[in-house]
Amino acid sequence: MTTFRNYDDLRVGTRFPDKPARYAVTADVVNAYRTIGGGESGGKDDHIAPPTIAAVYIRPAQNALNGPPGGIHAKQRFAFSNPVKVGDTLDTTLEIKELFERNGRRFVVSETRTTNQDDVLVCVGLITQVWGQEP
Amino acid sequence: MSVEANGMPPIGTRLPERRHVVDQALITAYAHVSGDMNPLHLDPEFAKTTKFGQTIAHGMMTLAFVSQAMRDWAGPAWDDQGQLAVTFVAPVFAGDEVIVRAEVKESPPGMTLCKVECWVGERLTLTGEAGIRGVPDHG
Repeated sequence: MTTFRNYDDLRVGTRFPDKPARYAVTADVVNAYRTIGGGESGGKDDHIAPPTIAAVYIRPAQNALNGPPGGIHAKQRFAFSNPVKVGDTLDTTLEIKELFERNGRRFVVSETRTTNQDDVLVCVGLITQVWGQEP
Repeated sequence: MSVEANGMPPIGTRLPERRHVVDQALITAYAHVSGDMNPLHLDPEFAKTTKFGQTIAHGMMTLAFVSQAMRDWAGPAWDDQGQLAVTFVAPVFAGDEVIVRAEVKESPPGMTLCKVECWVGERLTLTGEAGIRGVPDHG
């Protein structure tokens, strides 16, 4: 049986995971993401990922939060510093910035920072999520 | 399309609309690409236990729609050093047609800021702002 993290165990300033979550950017993922967005592959810029693929490469860090199912995104902010390309290896850390309750719902605000294989910052994200249903 | 003397698009310029029909297959495909396997998006029985009553699309999936709308208009400038800030206002369900609308809101030096929205019929599902550094290709 899968166990999930409890909201009451979260602390502002905690980082997830213990070591940065690594993500290898492949052509398959970039093409699939572009297709879902309604774009077409086959151009000269195919090796450059759509910037919002950040939603994909930060996911391993988000998964390390290990929240219960049913959570949803309330807000998302991204600042893209450098394009992500096929073949990049990205490391993401997630830090809890704020915890609050509103209208009976529990929120987690987290910042993600992603660097590439050259230790260059590619994206900073700020996620506001509604915590999922705890048993 | 007209441009200001500084090469930036005039405030109020509307970007071409994009329309996306969302079905469960697309939601499932996004789940596999993103690794976000939240049962709220994939498991109808689980989704029935939530306030939504049925599976919903990942909010982040609609960001892919917004990104493509920006790319279509701005070209490679959108890939470079942009920014995006959105609020997910309402869910998108399988069967919905999402319309992405955007227009130029501000043109501070070196930047074009667009108001972006996603609509399903009369239902606003996403609202926010997208920023492009430099001059959009088609601005």
